[in-house]
Amino acid sequence: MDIRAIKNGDTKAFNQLVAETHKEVYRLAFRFLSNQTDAEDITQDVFIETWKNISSFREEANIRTWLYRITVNKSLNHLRKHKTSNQTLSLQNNEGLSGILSTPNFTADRPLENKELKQVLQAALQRLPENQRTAFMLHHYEGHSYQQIAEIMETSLSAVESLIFRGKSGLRIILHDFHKDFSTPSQVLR
Amino acid sequence: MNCQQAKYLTEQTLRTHAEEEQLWEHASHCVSCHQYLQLHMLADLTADDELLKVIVPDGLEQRIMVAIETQQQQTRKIPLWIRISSAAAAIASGLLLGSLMYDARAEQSYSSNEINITSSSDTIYVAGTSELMYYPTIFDQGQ
Repeated sequence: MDIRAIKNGDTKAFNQLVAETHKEVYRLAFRFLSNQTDAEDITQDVFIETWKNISSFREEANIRTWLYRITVNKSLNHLRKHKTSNQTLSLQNNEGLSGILSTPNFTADRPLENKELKQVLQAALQRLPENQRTAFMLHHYEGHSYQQIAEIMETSLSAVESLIFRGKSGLRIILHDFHKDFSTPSQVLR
Repeated sequence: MNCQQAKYLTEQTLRTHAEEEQLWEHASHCVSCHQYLQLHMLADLTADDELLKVIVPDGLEQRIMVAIETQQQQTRKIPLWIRISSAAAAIASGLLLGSLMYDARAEQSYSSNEINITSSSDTIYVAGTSELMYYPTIFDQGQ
């Protein structure tokens, strides 16, 4: 990728950057938003902002790290703005998981289907604090190293380690609680 | 294996192959333990797992480039010589217009007041814009 050419306004060079990175940007946005249309819009916004502000990009850093940082910030801002919409689940209360429990297809008498597991996971992730969720997803779902995550989140390596550890522990507790709520008393322990 | 043991094993991050087989064997006929195992596994998923696969929609790259092209057209740079000559023309026009307006107002003010001062001794010089402000003083002196 020729960053200098992009800085000089070369759209072909920018097209190459888009071709090489748009899938990663979209996937990351989708992990936060769980909605195709929103993830597409955020991806487009990320590249427009990159194009407009490329002159402020210092070339000693990795352009991907910069793109991920913009994606994370835009996705979180979008979630904050649309916290009450139907597409995202509230962080303040238990609507997410209890909402799933009340759906007609969710029953305690058969193993969960993939679609249901996705719903549960999404709802559980939404209940994690924002920074823990971000670090956890970047590491487990996007495969970034702790160092990369520290750069994306503009924090220290030890903070990232702590966030991921607490994120995973928190997720286990949330899923454990969900199982308790979901199962009938006789099923929990036999 | 009973449910207590299955639950304990499910919560262990490391399991032997034998434990894994026993656990799944129990889960295959115990819905609750199966669900608990499924939910527990969610915390250990990675991007390679089918459940987390994200399909990138077709045409996204084109859509982004069209948006960039539109953005570029909106903020296309104007050559420097055009910007300089436009600024110079604007300044010149402003000065010309300002001067014309000043002249017009001064003339109008002079004709509307029609001050006639007669002095037998010294000559009194009155600036056009000062006429109204100093009129009473000048008039008294004139008397």
